[in-house]
Amino acid sequence: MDRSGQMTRRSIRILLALAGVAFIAAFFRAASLTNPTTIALSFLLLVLGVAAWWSLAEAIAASFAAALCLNYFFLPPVGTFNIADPENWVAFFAFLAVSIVASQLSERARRKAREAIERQEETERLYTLSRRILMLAGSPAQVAGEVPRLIQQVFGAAGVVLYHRETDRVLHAGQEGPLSKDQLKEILLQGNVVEDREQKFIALPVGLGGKPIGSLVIQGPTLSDGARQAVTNLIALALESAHSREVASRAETVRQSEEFKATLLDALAHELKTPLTSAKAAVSAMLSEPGLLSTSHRELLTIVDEETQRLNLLITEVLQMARIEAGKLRLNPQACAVNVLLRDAIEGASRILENRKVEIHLAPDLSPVLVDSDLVGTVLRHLLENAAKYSPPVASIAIAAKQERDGVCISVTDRGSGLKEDELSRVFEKYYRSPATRDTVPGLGMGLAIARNIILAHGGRIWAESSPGQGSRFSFTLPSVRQAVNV
Amino acid sequence: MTQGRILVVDDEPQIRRTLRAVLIPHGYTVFEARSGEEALAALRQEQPDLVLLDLNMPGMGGLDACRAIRENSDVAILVLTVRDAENDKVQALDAGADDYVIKPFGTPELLARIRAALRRLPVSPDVPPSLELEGLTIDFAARQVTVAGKVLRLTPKEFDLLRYLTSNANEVVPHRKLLQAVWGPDYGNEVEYLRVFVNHLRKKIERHPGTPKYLVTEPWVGYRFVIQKNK
Repeated sequence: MDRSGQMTRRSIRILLALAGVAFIAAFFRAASLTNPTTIALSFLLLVLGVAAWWSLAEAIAASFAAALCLNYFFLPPVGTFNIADPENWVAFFAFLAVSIVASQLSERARRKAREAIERQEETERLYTLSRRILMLAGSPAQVAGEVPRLIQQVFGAAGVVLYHRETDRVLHAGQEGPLSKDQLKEILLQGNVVEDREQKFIALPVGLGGKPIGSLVIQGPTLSDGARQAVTNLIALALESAHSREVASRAETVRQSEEFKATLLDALAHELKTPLTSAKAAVSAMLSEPGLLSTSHRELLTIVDEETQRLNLLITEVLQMARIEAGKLRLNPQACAVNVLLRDAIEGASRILENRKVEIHLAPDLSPVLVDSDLVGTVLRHLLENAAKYSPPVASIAIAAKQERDGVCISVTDRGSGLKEDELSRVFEKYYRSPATRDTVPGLGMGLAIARNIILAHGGRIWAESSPGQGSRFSFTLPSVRQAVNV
Repeated sequence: MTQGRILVVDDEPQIRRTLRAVLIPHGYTVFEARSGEEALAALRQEQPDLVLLDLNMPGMGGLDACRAIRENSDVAILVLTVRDAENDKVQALDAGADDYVIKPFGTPELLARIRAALRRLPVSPDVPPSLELEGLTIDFAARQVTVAGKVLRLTPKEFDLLRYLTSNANEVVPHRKLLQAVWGPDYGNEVEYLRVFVNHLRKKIERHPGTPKYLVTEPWVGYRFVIQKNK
């Protein structure tokens, strides 16, 4: 329909051009003007005009018609297609050559101009598309749903189809697509451009940095290679950024819920510690009065006192774990001497260590460490408690500290039953408790997980070594202080 | 005779009840307040020697209450808190507390802390009644410090810290020795107390607290009060 309309239009133009030639010929005949140069120039003017406004075909037709008219009506012998004078042969061919070359040049210039306009329009469309596509909000599925409609609107396409790999859906706007879902997948996987001039569609793979994202079919307009590339890149970018937005917001939701949990536990811990405070103060007040209690009453109250203390430690531990998981572990690093850290930890664990022998091996010239002493104290307390819990009451515990290249390595060694090979890393998992001892030794399985998090937050390492039957050694590293810091 | 007047500030009635039951047999006179606002009123009315202040209270928080009390009074402040992170402790000291006790606490520990907070450095007879330095006058008898003609308010612990350092002028006083002299024999590891109190003191008596002239830090060891002799 479109093509035959174009044919008709072209035929009319050719007829008009020929009519123009006839008119000029008639005019010069009627006016009895016979100077071949004037006439040839007048024809040339017409041919140039035709070439400038219409196309090469019309101009060539006009050129030949004008040449024939020139020959027949104006070049002697007039009235024949013969040319007597050789000079007039030259004039005739010069005219023909000039008119054809001129029409070609003019046609080329016009085509260039048209192409430039097309390219400019394409650029404007791409710009519009980029603005609208990059403003799309929502999930990748929502963005993928919007993309075909946008491309259809901006490029005036008959139909646009997008296959989105992440959601495995085919989305379209306008006309039904010419390809099946499997064909679309094929294009995505092969990464080939398929162009069908018959059905006027082009199918393009959409990917970013080698990652296949989808495929796109545009029906109707022809796009330059650059524009195709730009469109598929835009789609890839929009889908990828929607994807990463979604991942980020999911992570944010998780973080917020962890934070909520920590806040809740914080409040809960406070609520739990208030009655504990009253109980502990009351019991310890009675215990500190000499001569007030009988031996058995004193023993009973001591049990209450110790259990209050244990309950308090458990609450503290749960709270610490929750804070760590909510990412609320904030270090307050200060320069500390290793011997002071160890001394405080042993003092703090004295109730659990009871009268057990603790050997301390400190290397000479240990550099001070840059740590949060409260938190590292917690780590040491957990390790000492574990050493005490998992070894016979008579076995000694050894603490050693040695200087390493960029820090201090501290280890706690017990002479307990030890750990199996496959447990050496599992013991640091939250809630993990060794099957061999979990029914006989009390605990929540959080101490080592907390210790691990604290040491990692300091940029250190923590690990376990064991020879079954001989005992276990837990070691960790702490960063040294490089320069002296004013205390 | 009363051992001292103590104002207990806590929103939890059971805690106030327990503290009352614990403190009265030890000879203290106890007053109660349920919030920071009530505490400020009671402070004027009852003139306590020491405030036992819970940090976690609704309304005016414990830290704000601590600052408000410190603005109005040099009374000893002992903070009660469930938080034992270093930051929280330093915050409490910065707000003007003399010491803190972590909940839950044993009664003997609390009593020891109260005694330490109420403790004043005994005046030894061989200390001169006052010390006059460039732009700084310390009157030991009147417990008064004058800087550039202006009389300053020092808390009892700040004053004792300054007095102990000046009585050992130009000597390095180790952290432990300083803590035990000013707070009492149960202390010795609480270096953060010294850091906060020395900072408070520097802000009050030094012209350039960032580059102190009198109160000098001896890294890793302790502090030294410098008196220029050749003047």
